[in-house]
Amino acid sequence: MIVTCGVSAFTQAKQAAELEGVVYSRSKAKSSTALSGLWAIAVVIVLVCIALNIWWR
Amino acid sequence: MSTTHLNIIDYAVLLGYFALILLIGLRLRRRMVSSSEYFQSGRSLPALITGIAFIAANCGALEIMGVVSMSAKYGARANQFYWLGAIPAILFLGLFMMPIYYMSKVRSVPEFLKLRYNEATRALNAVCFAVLMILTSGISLYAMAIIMRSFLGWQFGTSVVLAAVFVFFYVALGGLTATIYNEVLQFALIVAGLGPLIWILVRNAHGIANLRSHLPNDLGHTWKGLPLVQPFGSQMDVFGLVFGLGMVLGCGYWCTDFLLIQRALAARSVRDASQTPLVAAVIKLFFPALVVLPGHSTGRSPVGWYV
Repeated sequence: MIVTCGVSAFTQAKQAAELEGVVYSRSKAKSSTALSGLWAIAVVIVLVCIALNIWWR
Repeated sequence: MSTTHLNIIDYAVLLGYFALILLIGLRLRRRMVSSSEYFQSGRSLPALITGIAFIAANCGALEIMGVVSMSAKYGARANQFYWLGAIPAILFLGLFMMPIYYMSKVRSVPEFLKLRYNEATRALNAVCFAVLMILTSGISLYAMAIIMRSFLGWQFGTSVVLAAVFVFFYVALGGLTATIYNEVLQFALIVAGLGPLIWILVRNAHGIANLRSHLPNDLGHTWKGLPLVQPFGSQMDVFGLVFGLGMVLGCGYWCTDFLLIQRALAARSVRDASQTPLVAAVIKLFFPALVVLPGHSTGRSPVGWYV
């Protein structure tokens, strides 16, 4: 049973890795979305949210 | 509550609104030549439009009635449903999940689950989402009909059927594009409708601080008075808010709800798709001013705070 579970987990992990390779190339996504700019916006949103929580605490 | 008697201008506004949403559907009908156009607006919309639609899909009669009544009961703690319960999950969706959703070229979350896992997972998610939509749509229609009956004296059944018919027509004619443009219009109307109410309320209460000070038992505060951990005997505690609302409920809702993610999938690029939740997050930050503040005054405000 342990061997069966191990083989099943390995197969699923392999399929998931293959799928990620097909549908989502991390390097391509990073270059095309310019995630650094989005991260800056996200940080500003978090800071404003913290400020609102402090003001309305 | 006494109902409001409509005059000719009110009827003109109502008829104009219904005509406009049908016109949007009719104008967009010719563009609906493929499933991509119908279900994803041809992936052509800018982030600002999809972002407003993203947040508008989360608003409605339920928001007006539910959150206002919730803030009347829990005071400023209702803010957490907009901040802790939404902001972290929305940011996670925009930064990490939307690129994966968008670049997989799927038209829906169930379709993505089939791609990622298998048909059984897709079917389970689709069935769960369908049941969820039936229940939430019913609640939204119910809340809308209660509002129309309370303010305008319309029959409950008339309001439900009228709203359902108009929604069916503009969605059937114009697909997701018509839905998104109508959501932007409805969001503008929500802000235009609630904005003057807030202005009058804050002016008559001589400021937000004075409005909050009339709330009993720390209800004017978002965090003050909350126990750190108190699973029994308390309505809210910090641990439950952070991990229960912020991590479990927030992420479970905002990162997987197909109704919302479909708006982001209609964006014109992967960058716009990622920006869509960020636009929504900015709106979400300040939306409590429109729905939480009115709840603060409900039933507790001195006479004269309203008009």
